[in-house]
Amino acid sequence: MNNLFKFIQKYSSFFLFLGFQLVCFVFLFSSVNSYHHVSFANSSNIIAGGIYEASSNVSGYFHLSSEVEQLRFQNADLKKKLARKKPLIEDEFTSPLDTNYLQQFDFLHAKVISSFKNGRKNSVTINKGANDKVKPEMGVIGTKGIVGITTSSSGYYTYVKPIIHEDFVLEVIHEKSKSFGFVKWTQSDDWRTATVVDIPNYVEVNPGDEILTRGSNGLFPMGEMVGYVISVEDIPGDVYLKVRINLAEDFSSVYNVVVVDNVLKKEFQDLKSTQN
Amino acid sequence: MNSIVKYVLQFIVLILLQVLVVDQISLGYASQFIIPYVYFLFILMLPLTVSNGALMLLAFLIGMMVDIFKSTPGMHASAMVVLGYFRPYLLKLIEPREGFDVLKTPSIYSMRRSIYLGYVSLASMVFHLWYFTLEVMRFSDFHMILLKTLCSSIISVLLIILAQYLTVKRK
Repeated sequence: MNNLFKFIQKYSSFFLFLGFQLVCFVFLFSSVNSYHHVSFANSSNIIAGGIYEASSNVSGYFHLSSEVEQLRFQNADLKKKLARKKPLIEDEFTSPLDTNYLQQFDFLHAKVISSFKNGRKNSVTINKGANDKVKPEMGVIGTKGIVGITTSSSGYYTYVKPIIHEDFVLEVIHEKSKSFGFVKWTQSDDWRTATVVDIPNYVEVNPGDEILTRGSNGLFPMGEMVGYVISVEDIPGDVYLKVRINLAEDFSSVYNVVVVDNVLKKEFQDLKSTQN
Repeated sequence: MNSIVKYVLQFIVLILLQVLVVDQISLGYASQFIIPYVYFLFILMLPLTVSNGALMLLAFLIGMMVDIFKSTPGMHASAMVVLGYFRPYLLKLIEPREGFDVLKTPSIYSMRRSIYLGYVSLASMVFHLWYFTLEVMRFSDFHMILLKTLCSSIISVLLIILAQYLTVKRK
């Protein structure tokens, strides 16, 4: 027994080192939904959120003009879409009270207060939280394309898992052929690109083609921009293509975003749960 | 008492410098490989008389704070604890024949310039190597880990030396 104590005392700093590493690894390898992870995210929202918001209030002014330009484009686009929705009856536009026009998605505007793009587990933080009814598992769309999915929120802040996170998976469609696949962020991608897998190799995919959201899990509306094809790789012996895409959203300057709330999500999930 | 206030300030300033300034540096294509970290300078600046346990505890705390800002639970804390554990060995490795003056804190003026450069570079390599190994987490991409470690270390050593010349008073 005495020898044991002597042994521990002699290598005390090494045992301390192991102890600290164990604590770190519990955090590091706990799954995203575990208690450790969620409590870490909540406390980090409280501490880091305020400081990031203060910094973003200053840095936000630097790219104001380009941001306004993008919003103008988006506005024009939305107006065009709206005009098509409202039929012209006699002299004025009317919105018909028709269930065909039932609004499925609600949009909440938010600002990005911090974002990281150089690591493998990147993150984006936005300045809306549970007080604004932002919940985990909601889609987030930027001015140019989709940004990611919310993972956890505190009162005023929410973490978003962006496309450029190694655990990100989303069902997408190839616009021309309507065939679908999954967008992933693989080891060979940087913050400007992503990879679409599971598109069959008989589909003709060309560089420049649009990749859109499929809307299959109710997080995003159907047909939101994800990115443009840059290259297509047909792997010998595999029935699926590996499509490299350029992400539509620029993660170096993501600032104005909208959070998507699917009003019918609960109904959709209930339906799904009755199936199995 | 005065020196405790000084170290608390260093702790806060280095974290803010890391997350609000250094992390925002964008080098276009090169930012895939160059992801410099400078906040580990806090551990390097602690006096030589600090015990191993206190060193590791402080390293863990500052690492966890950066983790909180970057929402990467445990990654920075783990890399910092490794650095805290190895600091005494690094110092032993580069110790000049006459030994260090234990009353002085390690800085570019209190050590010979070449020795300080060696100290910072080795520490930076240890930190970045462990950090990127945890981040990439697969040995098939080992060349990627080494490339990232090397590129990022060079930049962060440059930044740290620059910071030393700008902030430490010559005595």
